[in-house]
Amino acid sequence: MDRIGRIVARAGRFFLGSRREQTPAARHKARVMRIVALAILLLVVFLVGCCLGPYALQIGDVVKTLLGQGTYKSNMVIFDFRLPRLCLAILVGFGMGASGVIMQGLLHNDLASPGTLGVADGSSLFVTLYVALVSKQIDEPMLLPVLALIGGLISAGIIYLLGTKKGKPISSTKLIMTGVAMGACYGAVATFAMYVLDESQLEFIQRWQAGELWGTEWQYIRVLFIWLVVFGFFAVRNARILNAINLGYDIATGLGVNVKLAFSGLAFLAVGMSSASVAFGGNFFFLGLIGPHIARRIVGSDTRYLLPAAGVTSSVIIVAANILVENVEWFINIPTGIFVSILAVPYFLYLLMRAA
Amino acid sequence: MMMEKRNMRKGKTLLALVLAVAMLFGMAGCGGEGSGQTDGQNGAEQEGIRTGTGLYAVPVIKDSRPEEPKEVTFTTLNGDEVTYNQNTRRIVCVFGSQDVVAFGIPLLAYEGSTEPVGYESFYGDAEALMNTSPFSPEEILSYEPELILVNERMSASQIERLSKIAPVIPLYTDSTDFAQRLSYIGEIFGMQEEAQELITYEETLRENMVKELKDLGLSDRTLTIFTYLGNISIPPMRGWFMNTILYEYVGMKRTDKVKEFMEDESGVAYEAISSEKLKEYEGDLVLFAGDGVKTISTYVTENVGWKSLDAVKEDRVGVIDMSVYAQKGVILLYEQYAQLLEALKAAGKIAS
Amino acid sequence: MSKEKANNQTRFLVFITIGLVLVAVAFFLTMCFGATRISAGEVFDAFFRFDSSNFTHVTVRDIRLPRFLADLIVGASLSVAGAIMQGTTKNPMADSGIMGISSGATLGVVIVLAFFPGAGRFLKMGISAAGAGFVTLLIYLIAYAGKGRITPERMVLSGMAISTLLSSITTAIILKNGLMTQMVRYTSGSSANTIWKDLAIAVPFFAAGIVTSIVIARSLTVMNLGEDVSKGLGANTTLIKTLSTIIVLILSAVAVIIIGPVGYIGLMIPYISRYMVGTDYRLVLPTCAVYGALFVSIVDLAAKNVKPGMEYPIGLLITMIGVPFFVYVSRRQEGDQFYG
Repeated sequence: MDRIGRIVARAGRFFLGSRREQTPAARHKARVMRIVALAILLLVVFLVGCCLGPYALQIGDVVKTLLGQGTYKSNMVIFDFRLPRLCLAILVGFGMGASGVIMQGLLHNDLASPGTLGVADGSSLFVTLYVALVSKQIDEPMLLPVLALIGGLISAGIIYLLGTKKGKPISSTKLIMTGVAMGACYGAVATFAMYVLDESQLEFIQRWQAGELWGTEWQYIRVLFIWLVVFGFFAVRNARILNAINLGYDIATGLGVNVKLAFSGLAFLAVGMSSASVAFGGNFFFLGLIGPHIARRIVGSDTRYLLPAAGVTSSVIIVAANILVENVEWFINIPTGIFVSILAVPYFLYLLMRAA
Repeated sequence: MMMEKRNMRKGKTLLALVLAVAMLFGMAGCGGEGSGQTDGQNGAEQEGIRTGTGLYAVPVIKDSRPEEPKEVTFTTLNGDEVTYNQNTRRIVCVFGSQDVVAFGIPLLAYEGSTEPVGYESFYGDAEALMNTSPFSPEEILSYEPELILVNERMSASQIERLSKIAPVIPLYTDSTDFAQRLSYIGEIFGMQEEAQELITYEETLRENMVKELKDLGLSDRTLTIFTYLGNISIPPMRGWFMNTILYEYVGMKRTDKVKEFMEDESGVAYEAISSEKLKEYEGDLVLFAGDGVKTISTYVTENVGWKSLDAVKEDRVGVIDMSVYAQKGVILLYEQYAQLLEALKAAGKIAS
Repeated sequence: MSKEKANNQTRFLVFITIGLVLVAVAFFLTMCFGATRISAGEVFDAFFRFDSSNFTHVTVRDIRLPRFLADLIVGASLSVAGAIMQGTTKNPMADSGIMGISSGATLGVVIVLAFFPGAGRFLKMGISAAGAGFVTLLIYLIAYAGKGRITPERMVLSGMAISTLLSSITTAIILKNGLMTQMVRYTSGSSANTIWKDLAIAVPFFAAGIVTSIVIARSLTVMNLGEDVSKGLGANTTLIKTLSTIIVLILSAVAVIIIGPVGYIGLMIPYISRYMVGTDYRLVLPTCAVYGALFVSIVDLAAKNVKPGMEYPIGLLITMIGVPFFVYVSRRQEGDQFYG
């Protein structure tokens, strides 16, 4: 017991200990180490996810299969059933986490996220309405992120229009309040829509809104992967600009950043990443909020480190939640997002009270 | 042995007692072990006697297929050619198990969305699938099936995915034509004779019900079924099998207003009917369909509009449990018909 | 200062008179219009020459009247609760729907549906009231634990977080138990099925809540000047805080058990009332009660007459009106509009 306690304490110091390193090089090294440690944690959770499921497979078999020496059945279990879900979960986590980092950086507000700003709700409403009312089947995987992006951009636009005033500085709280209100509005529209849906469509929408990893086919995952890589690439490239904006709009202007252009560009990237995640993974309301938060406590607020760290942290959360949903008998059939909420809301409330 | 084969609802001690007597008669009648068919008919007569009607429980059929594997190729309702072992005992049924188990065919697992309470004897050791919507291919694989039976609405891409585990055959699920559904299953397993027996059973049940209602003088009357799901409404035509039985099979009438309400699918299902207007929907006969219970909710009995119905004033409302009619399947028919007949008798109390 | 006060009192008298007259008009219209049209003469007969075998009379007395009273009670309760909550939590955007109280009640209803399917009226009312009460307490806990430093925005966010959490749990139970269609009904909010029995349960609580709120109205006004000032004036802030929490709890629960989850009334009506009569709670609370009652009864009148004979859930209609208002208020919100 003592040893476990010591290990936990050391891990705690490693992740959360104050950053005493003085030289930039040492600081850089420490942060990279922490991101690597997070990545290892994700790998462990990922492997656990590979090993657990209704079809019993030994760890040895799993490793063998992953190395390309599986039987017909173990190949099917790993490559057709378990890996797609896990990969999707990781990608969705990355998308939501990175999107949250950008939004929080742009608005200088740690309560900003695709969920609280109503962007994810907009995407989700747009896609669900399309699926429910226009087409019952999704044949074109490329269409989904595009639809979600349109929905996300429209709602981001509405929120920006309603939440800002001409000639006044952007108020992040006002944007968030507008986002919350629009979220409620989308909820009301969805409830109206629910009135005309049949039972199976109703269930689909409810599951989606609660956050369910549904797009578990390789073609969807491929689309999401490419999408996130492209958007993520631009986000990382612009991390320094985001850092500058984070210091304040005036300071950023002083540093030679074209704030207006950078703001809209980065906002587009953030909406793009969250929309694609919502399209295939459903609405994980708080993921884009708590992922960046936890990551910030681990690697600090430099966006260059925060972006990957937040992505990995969010992935760990969602993969862990997914393992619970898949394997605990009592939780089977419950959308993954519900667990993310149950984990995240108490933390979120704690944040709200602490920051007051 | 025979007792297990009856449809028994929990707590119906009286029924158990009657069945025990029936079993004695049955044993005396056919001297121990007879063929599945005789068993069924014997029991059937007893059931009919019990309710005093021509209704009786589904004949008990034994799996007559030989043990040795037999590869066959079958054209499914989608037009796909599927090759599989016709005599397999390793079957997972993702939808519509209520028809399949009537053939005496053992299942490894069945859809978990329904609880076969009262029908345990048909299911034997079969397990309920835990992932219902959406189903989990990995869970299906974990049973190592040789044949998977699915819903006719399942998409081609999903069928393709499942086909990697084992041959997949979709069953008719929307059809209310028992002959079509049962003869299709009979063909899948090479059990055409047994299918015919079940089809005949369904036809007899229907004919006897019609006759019974004619004898009672109820068959040419209008009928309205009310229900309560947060507000008083009429269950829509589609999706509730009691409507099919009453208005299609048995030929009960309904007023134009009720018909329009039940078949209007443009708007809201279970749309609230104003308490002020409820009376306009009343037919000659009134049934109330409880949701999972065979009682009328106090929210309904205290409703002023409900109290204004003639049937309520004259205390002749028949009550059924709507959840019994959520599925259709040959093993469920007896309970479904018997409950309706009982309720209609209550509703027609003052018909004379 | 005192001139403005006198001015507000005059305005109060004028507005409350107008409000009461309009409620009377709404009463008359509600009695006459609905699934069927009933003439004024028959309505008169129903009240003064009641014939229990005449269904028109029964409709007026036992369907329309209790429903109308239910609307009044719900409107008044939610508005007064909203106004008090806004004052005591220093949050001009507090409302039982926005703060997640309705989602607590919904969870309660779902628990009853899933685990006690045969449950009667009392159990259902009790558990959904308990759900509403739980969230109310939670919100006050957050507000007071933050020692008044929590901004309105953060309060709204915590309300949103609470409702997200509770509706997640609700969804989980629904999906686990296949209660989909039923739940859509229960979560939309309607007073269509109100009978006298419901009112008999609700009225004592409602009356107690309203009366107490009027009694403490002066203290609430003083408390709004700031806790230091009110302590200096000798007010017992702890007592007032406790009482107002209990009032909010009771009034929200009353509304929820009658009509189901309905949001935004507690936001809109107090906002408009303050615009009419200023910030003195002795004037604001009665104005809220009257105009809240008026608002809900008018929306319900509309809901009944969109398609006569069928019922539209007023909860959804109110949300559609409420959301734009909420956006408007949050735009207006400069941080110094109400409470410094």
